[in-house]
Amino acid sequence: MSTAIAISPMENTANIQEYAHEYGENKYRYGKTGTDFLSTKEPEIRPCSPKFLTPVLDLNRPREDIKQRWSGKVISATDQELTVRLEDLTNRDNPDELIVLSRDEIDDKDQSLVKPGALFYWYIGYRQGFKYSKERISIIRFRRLPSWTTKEIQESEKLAEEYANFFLTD
Amino acid sequence: MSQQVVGILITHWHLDHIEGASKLLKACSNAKLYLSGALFTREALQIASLYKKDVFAETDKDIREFGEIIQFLHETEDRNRIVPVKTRHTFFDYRETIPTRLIALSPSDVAVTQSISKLAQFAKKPGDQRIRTVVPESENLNAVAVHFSFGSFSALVGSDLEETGNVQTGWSAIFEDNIINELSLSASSLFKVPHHGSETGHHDRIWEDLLIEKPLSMTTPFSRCDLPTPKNIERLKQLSSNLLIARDPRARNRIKRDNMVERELRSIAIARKSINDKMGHIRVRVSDKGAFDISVNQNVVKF
Repeated sequence: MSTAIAISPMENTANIQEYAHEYGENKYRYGKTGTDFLSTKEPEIRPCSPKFLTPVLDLNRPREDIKQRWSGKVISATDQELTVRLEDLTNRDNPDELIVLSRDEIDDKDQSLVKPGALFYWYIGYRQGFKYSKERISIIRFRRLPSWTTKEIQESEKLAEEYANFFLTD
Repeated sequence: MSQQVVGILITHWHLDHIEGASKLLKACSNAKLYLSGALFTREALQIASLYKKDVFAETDKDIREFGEIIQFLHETEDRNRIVPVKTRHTFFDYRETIPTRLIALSPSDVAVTQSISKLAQFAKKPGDQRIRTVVPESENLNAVAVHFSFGSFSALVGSDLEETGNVQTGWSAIFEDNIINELSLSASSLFKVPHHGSETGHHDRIWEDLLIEKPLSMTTPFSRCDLPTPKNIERLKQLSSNLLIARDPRARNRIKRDNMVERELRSIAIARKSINDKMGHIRVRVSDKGAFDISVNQNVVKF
């Protein structure tokens, strides 16, 4: 709901200083002397309700209650299974674990990423919403790290040359 | 104490043998660093330089540890601190008072060459996917096994050196090369069992030619592969006067977790195993009078 004062088409915008008082999306524009060009009255300063800062809960969207988070790495993989090492991000006192999973647990979009060395996150928890029954969720999401760039390779080759000149030559 | 350390030997660059080496090197300013000659090559330095720049390298601690070492030595301009090692390398040989000698029995020339050729696989090209790189298992053939003698006492430290039946690598290469006779190596009474007590670390001639009958043996477990297995523990017990393992290989850490998560995990996992990382510590001291002192911490198990 804007209470900005409309500017007449004849107005020279170069003479207008814009004073922005932000109350939500509202802005007030005044003439140079505090009035608009066509008025001799003091502009109205209309109070506005303050910005609503509290996030609005979308009751239609389900909420997730994540009970467990792991950071994982693929140790080995076959067509049917993969062996992974999990680092417990929820309780750091817990030891790492080696788990063998079926490849069926991996999203179709991530199947091509399953190879030794690949990194992923795994979350287990509940999902519930206004229109949703409570359900268990188990999400394995592979990390898509950026590929090696030409610049990185060139820089490392330059550094390797420095190392070789330092360590390997008399 | 750190100034009294004269040498740090990295037998090979698997994580359980190299982790913390860079910190050790920085703390022990008088110590030289010894490592396999295969890691003192252009190919290995290429890998070290790659990981220096890789901002995504959260894992691959083994390669990053190696990178840290190279970077530190480069920055301190101390190239003489690093010494490449292969079979027959003499770390020291003192004969003035009590004869003291440390000699490398491995890696063989062929093992070093094979290791270097595998290092080339770590090279990256633009556009290569950024995945975590694993130091290959075959690096065990590049491991440095040493024979230490102090007066009449001697110890054999087997590192992770394995036996594959190839006379040019592993333990067979040591016996094929006739090092024992040529260097007059005495039979040892203390034995650090190679490769976590596995069958692949075993060679009959180690026990026949390099060790006294029933030496004191010690080894470290490797949770990921359940080493040493009960069968191997039994084998080692038969061959040794006593067997010390740095951590109980049978122990499993208790995991504290939400019941719902445990149920979900049991329904998804085909197999699972926790990795016990408790640190065991065995220290052996030998006096100039030939007296032994062995001390252990609470995690060590005696069989």
